[in-house]
Amino acid sequence: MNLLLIFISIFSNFVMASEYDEPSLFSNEVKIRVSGIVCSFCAYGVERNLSELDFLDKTKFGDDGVLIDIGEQLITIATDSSKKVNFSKVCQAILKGGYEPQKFYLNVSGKIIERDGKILLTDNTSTQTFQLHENEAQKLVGSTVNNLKVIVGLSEIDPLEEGNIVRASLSK
Amino acid sequence: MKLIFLIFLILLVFIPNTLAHQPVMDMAPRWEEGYGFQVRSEYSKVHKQINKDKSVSTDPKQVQKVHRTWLEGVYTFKRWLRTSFKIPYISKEKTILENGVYAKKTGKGLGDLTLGLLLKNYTNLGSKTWNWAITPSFRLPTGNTSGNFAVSDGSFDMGVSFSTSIETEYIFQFYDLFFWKNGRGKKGANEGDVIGLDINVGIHPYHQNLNNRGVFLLLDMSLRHQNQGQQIGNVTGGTKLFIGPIIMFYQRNWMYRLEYSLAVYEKSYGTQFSRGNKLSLGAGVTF
Repeated sequence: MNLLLIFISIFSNFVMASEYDEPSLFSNEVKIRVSGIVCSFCAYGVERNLSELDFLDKTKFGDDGVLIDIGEQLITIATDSSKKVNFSKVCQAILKGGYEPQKFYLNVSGKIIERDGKILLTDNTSTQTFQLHENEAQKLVGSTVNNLKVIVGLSEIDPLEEGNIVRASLSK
Repeated sequence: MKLIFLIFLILLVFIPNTLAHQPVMDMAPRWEEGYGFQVRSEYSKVHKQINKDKSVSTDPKQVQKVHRTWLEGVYTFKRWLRTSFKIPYISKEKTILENGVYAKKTGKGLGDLTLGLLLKNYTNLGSKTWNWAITPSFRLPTGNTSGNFAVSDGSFDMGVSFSTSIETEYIFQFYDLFFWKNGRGKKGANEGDVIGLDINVGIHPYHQNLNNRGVFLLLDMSLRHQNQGQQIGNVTGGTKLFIGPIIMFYQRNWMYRLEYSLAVYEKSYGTQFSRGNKLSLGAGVTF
């Protein structure tokens, strides 16, 4: 009976969901919240898969451009500002590594415009365009933003990565 | 956190040990097309002989030494499907008193090859990950059956294990209930079937994100019961409980482990050498 109680305690502790604050961000990096990434030995496959992506700045984070923070369940990839981040490939690298990505966080500096009824944020190097939610970004149309924090949800990533536009939300 | 610490203490005190059914580490490699190898070397030397739960001899001239070096490997097709193998090279000897004369018996060579198919289901929830697995296994009679203390009985054996492991940033737990149906071997050998429970609980007290370096401290507990049977030249079977600490250090895709396992309780059928305490050193790598 005592053993049963111990097991119940262990499992009930296990299923309690964790809450996170939004991570702080620097330019030219993308942070990805990943559930269950609690040991970097187990996450070696994720790190290896991500380090093979061609839009990473491999001079950072131990020469592979990838940093896994098991305390925050966050993966940070240093990105090459001259190249487009392919979110779909990042997702696949993490999924094949045995984990599930939840959200992507990044800073974008660029101009917000409205075109064909869509609000678009194109970064200064014109490599990446994000479609922002109308109700969040309407008041920013026409402005130039510096290090605007945007969040890309998993459901907003086109698995085929057709075109260059990724749907994103603004950080609260 | 206090609750977890309390549970860990309770487990440490009251519950019986783990064994590497799962090469390298239960959680790795969990990535598709991942593979890994581990080499483990185990050594035990014992003078004590037991009959049931009584010590019947501690004659220093009677001794059993066993040295096993395991090569283990794993390949992950998909996160839910892995295959594994392990094969030992065994060198063992014992000196026993037979008809008033000390007789030395030896055996060495490759042991039996064990193949496993791991069917795993992972769940990732926030800062925790857990999985459960069903692992059917086969032990092929590849071992050397020659010598008067043979390293294999030449039997084909089948096993199945039901395991679960739970991990957070700080805590690791692994539970494995397993059963081995041992077949008839050569020269009249017919080892008894085995049922056992392995538990690994421990902490992950040190970790460096930038270098991917860390340490696990685990308590390995192994409780097993083997039906009475016959190995080549001696009776087998009984109930045994082993407990011991494991320290594991990892850096990137390399892992090193040091284990010491104490025979806490042993009850045998007939007169057998105690397994005694066992020292084990291992190193593994994943790709």
